[in-house]
Amino acid sequence: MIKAEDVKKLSQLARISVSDSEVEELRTDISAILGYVDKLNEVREEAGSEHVRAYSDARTVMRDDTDAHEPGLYTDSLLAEAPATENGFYKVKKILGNTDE
Amino acid sequence: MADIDLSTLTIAQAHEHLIKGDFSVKELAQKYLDVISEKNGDINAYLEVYSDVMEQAEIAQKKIDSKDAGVLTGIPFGIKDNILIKGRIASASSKILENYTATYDSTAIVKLKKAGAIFLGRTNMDEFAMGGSTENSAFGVTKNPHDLERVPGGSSGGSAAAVAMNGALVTIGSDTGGSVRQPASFCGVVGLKPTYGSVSRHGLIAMGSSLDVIGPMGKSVADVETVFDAIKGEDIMDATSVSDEKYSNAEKTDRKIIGVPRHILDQEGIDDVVKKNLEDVITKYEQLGYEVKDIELPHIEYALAVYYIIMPAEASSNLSRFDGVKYGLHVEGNDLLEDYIKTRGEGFGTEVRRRILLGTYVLSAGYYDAYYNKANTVRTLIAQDFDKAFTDVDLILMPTTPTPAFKIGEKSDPLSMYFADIFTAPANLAGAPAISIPSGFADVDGNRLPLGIQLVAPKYREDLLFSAGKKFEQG
Repeated sequence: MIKAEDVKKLSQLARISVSDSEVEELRTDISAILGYVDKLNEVREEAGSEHVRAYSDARTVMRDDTDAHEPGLYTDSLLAEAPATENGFYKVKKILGNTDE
Repeated sequence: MADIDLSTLTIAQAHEHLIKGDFSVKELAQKYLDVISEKNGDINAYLEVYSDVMEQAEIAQKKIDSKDAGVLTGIPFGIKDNILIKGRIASASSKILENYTATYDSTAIVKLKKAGAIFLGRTNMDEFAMGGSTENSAFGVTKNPHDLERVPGGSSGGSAAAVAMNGALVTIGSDTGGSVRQPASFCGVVGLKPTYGSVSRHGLIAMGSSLDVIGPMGKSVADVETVFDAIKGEDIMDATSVSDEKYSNAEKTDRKIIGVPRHILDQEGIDDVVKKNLEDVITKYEQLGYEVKDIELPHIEYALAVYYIIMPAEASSNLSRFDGVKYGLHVEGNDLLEDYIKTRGEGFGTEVRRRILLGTYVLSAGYYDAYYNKANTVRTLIAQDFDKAFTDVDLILMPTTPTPAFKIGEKSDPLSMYFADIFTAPANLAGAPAISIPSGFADVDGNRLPLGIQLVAPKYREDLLFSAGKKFEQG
């Protein structure tokens, strides 16, 4: 079982505001899901088996660092989706400052 | 104009009629638009019907008139709302992307555009593909065309309902733990989850990147095969996409032996009508000349537990990109951190928040080994179970879902909703291709609710799914 403080800590880590009324519901739901997935502890594992990824054929794909597109080709279309821009940049609030006051 | 019965029309038939000039691309597309304007108000399969369908049709018609048409030229598609089409909204049924316009085409869409396909509109889904009912859409639930009080399944519920209501000839969905097959089963259509990596994920809004795959839905196995052939292929933009060599090098067995892991039925929550249907399907395959034998998949009972660790872990990382800075919703706070927290708090719905927090938990220091690493280890064991089974059999047969479509609002706690993925998630964990095919009906409360049967094949062997699926349809 996880505690209400754990839910609040997780919501901070995940950068998601959670209302006080929602904390209890999330605590119950997440505890139930964690209780369910605990059944994996029944599975005995052999040493080193975690390094086998038999489900995946994925491998590192390399490509030559060439044929760059013309600079700025996509700037306008990408920035058009941004909530706030200035002079061809994304605009955000300053990161340091208000917290010290 | 020739009479068109949309309920039985196949891609091959439509193509022949278009080539012969029995009807035009515009006439065909208009037929579907008429159905959508008649039925979509009740069913809500489409979130948006594109205003330029007739312009698209004109371009396709020119290809046909100049004898430059392929089999998909002029074929009307519905596209799941998490697959990017340049210049059109792709919201993943989330408030956080409600007004997001895609800045590029997904690879699957590039291929369909080249083939001359027509896009009718974008279909509803559970927010960020998280759910099994479309009830998690920020833009209203989709209703099952067979019973408007019931869900169409999910997360590709809009795509399944669009086909079932004759609102598209074929549709595209995505499948992370069953999101193509489960709604296909609930709506009585065919749904394919291809081999992991066979269809590029470039331009698919990510949920669980080691599980996600784009897949087609349609009325027949042949239609789904045609669309799969059009959208598959290695892609420089997706490092996990697989080469054609993987397909040509795959061991070409054709033993007509089907394995059934009957032990998976020995648990609570599986409807008797589903068990009975499985036995009927087994009998039918035996009559079709297949040998059917019992097999064991010893670790499959852990599949759902593995899935509900790996998927939220990957989703929590993938969804960190939605920050209110680069695109999508922005909610003002006092500083940058508060901007993030408020934007994501207001933009994400309940299930998405739950999965991000769960994923954050299983990836956090102190729990990573106990949850995430453990899940990956058991995932390997599940994949090895499949590999071992496929040394004896060519196909594995299972129900697609534990029950027929459930009622809207019936499943209130998350775990009971997650149980709907119990037979579909294993194929995603193993990376194997699987198909759901309509296999009959259950009579429930005076309605005939569709049932689906699922075939799973070794990786790169979709051909086995198609041949066995077609024999089942014809038998």
